[in-house]
Amino acid sequence: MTWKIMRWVARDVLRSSWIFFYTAFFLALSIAFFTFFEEPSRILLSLLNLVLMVVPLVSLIFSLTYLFNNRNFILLTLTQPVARRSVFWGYWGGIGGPLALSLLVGMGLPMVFYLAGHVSYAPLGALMVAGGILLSQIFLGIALWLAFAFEDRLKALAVGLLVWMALTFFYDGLILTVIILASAYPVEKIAVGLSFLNPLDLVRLLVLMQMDVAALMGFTAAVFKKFLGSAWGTVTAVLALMVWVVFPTFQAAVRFQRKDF
Amino acid sequence: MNALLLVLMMVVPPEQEVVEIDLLQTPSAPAALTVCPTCEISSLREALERAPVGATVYVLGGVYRESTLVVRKSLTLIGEDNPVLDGEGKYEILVVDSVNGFRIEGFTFRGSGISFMEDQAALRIRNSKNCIIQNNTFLDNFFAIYLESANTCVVRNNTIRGPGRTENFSGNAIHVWSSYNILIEGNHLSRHRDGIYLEFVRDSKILNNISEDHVRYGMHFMFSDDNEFRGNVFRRCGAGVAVMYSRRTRLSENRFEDNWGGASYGLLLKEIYDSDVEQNVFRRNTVALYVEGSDRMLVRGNVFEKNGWALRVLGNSMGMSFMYNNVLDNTFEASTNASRNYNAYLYNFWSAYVGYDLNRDGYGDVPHRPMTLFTQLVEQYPAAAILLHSPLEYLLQYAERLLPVLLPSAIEDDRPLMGRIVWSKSETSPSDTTALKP
Repeated sequence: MTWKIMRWVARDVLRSSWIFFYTAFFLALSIAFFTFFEEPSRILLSLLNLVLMVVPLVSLIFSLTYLFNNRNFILLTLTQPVARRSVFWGYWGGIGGPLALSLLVGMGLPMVFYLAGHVSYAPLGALMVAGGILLSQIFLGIALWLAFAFEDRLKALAVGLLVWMALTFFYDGLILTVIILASAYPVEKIAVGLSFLNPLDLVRLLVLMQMDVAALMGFTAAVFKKFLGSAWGTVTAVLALMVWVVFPTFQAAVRFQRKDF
Repeated sequence: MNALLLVLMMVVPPEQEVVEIDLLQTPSAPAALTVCPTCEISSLREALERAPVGATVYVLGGVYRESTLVVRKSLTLIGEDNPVLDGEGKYEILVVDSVNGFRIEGFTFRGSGISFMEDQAALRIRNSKNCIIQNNTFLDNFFAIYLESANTCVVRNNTIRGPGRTENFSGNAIHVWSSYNILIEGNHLSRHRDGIYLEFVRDSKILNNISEDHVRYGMHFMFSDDNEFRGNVFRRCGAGVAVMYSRRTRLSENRFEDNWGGASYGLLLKEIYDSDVEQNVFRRNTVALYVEGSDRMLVRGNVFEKNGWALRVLGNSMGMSFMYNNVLDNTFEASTNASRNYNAYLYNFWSAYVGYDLNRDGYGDVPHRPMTLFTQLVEQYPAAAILLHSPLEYLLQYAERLLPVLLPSAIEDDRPLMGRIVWSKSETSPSDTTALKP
């Protein structure tokens, strides 16, 4: 049943003009970057900015609007003899699948064509698409949580935007403040530690470490690389991202399960 | 006559230098010996002993393992069919001591000894003058060419490739200590500790060498005044080029490329006075030009492209003129830890300049401040680099565009150019610029 709902939701999502524009936007920009810029590292850096700024925002707002627009239909589904669990996971996969798909088509496809000539950059490209998909899943999870935590869609949107801003800007501001305040101490490890807690920072640093620009981060990059290079570091990075994917989604699942609509 | 000619050939001086020909050292004996493994003289040591002063020793192809050879008289050594002098990884190969007039060409030196107590070299010239070292190959030596109180020497067109080991286990390709009137030209140096190392060297020219893939510096010199470095290429070195404690140095038309790494510099200047850095190209270095404690520098007509930092000036540098440079596409254009500006930045083209030119005179109407707020943060708090390419960095950039008061003013170009400066090869001042109309 979960599968059936998922397919149905996915079909509905894929038909909406939002997801179409989202895909077209990425496709157009990727092709433009690949055509007009020459250096692969520069193109990937530009795409990284898109992944960090646009993907979370669009995933969040799109998921929130879709969930609120289909609120009545969700209610209707719940009156049928269908397990709540199936409905939730159906919506989760039905939205998350197309979001991932549009990144694969919008960014992955041009990359496949372009990076065929720059094979050494292929792992980096793959890492970025993977990072983008992971981020969209994280923000889908947050959207699901908010959609079932608030009745008022405006409130949910407002809180969603606040969360997005916090992760995108405020958290980095916090890191900067810590660095400045604790500048008398060896603060690199703390900064690296803090960056592991924010999925946006983590994805950004994971990508940047594979690029030449890592050299500009000096000692901090060395600390990050050393930690990441150790078994503990890899486990921590994967774990940190997984927690961000899993935790909000499960919170949402629990809320949905208990919610008195 | 023949002998005289040979003697004259032997002491051919580098252009424009005056050479004393010590006639007492050059007897009239006809002098040409041939050494080869199957010849009458099969040992190079024997040949060197038997050769009269001023003789020419022809060494034919073959491998010569004769531990350390010492030459104490003026000689010309010509290698034919690439004779190999092998140090077997144990000792110095050839030492020239207290000689006026020595010439060696066409040899391959390989495998000099490694020592932590002394600098073992493949070819050492000590307390001598008027020497020519050309067209030789040096492979896998500790130090390759070591000039020690050797004046008026020419090191030309040699290929020197080191073993590429760690800093402790490799020496310098060309090491010059306490000498003057040296010409180092057209050599290809790679995989040593430092490519060219000069200490207490004056009035010398280092021209058109390629120095690459060294463990530490492509070139390193200190306490060396009045030297000229032109047309060299320094690339892919662990730490780039570092020059220190010297005066009146002219660095022009060199290329500093791909010195990329956590602590790499294209060109590091430390306590360099009254020197010129002109028309060089700095491309893809972590820090292209680093200036510390250097006064009265002229940095003119260089191209800084795609570096991490194009320019880093510490506050203890004064009186630098930074003019007519093209600063293109660098992550950080300029950075300083000083709160005030003691240097002049004028007439540069900065690709990050967003100003306008209403009166169309070729100069931007608003000053350019190449040091952004984020650059300053990174300068003051290096750990802040962790926010590189983060949305916050872009937010800061946007904020300072809205509120220019946020921009640090320690570095400011009052007359930024609107277009890239194009230099024609033969001129010493900008001829045709897309924007500049003097």
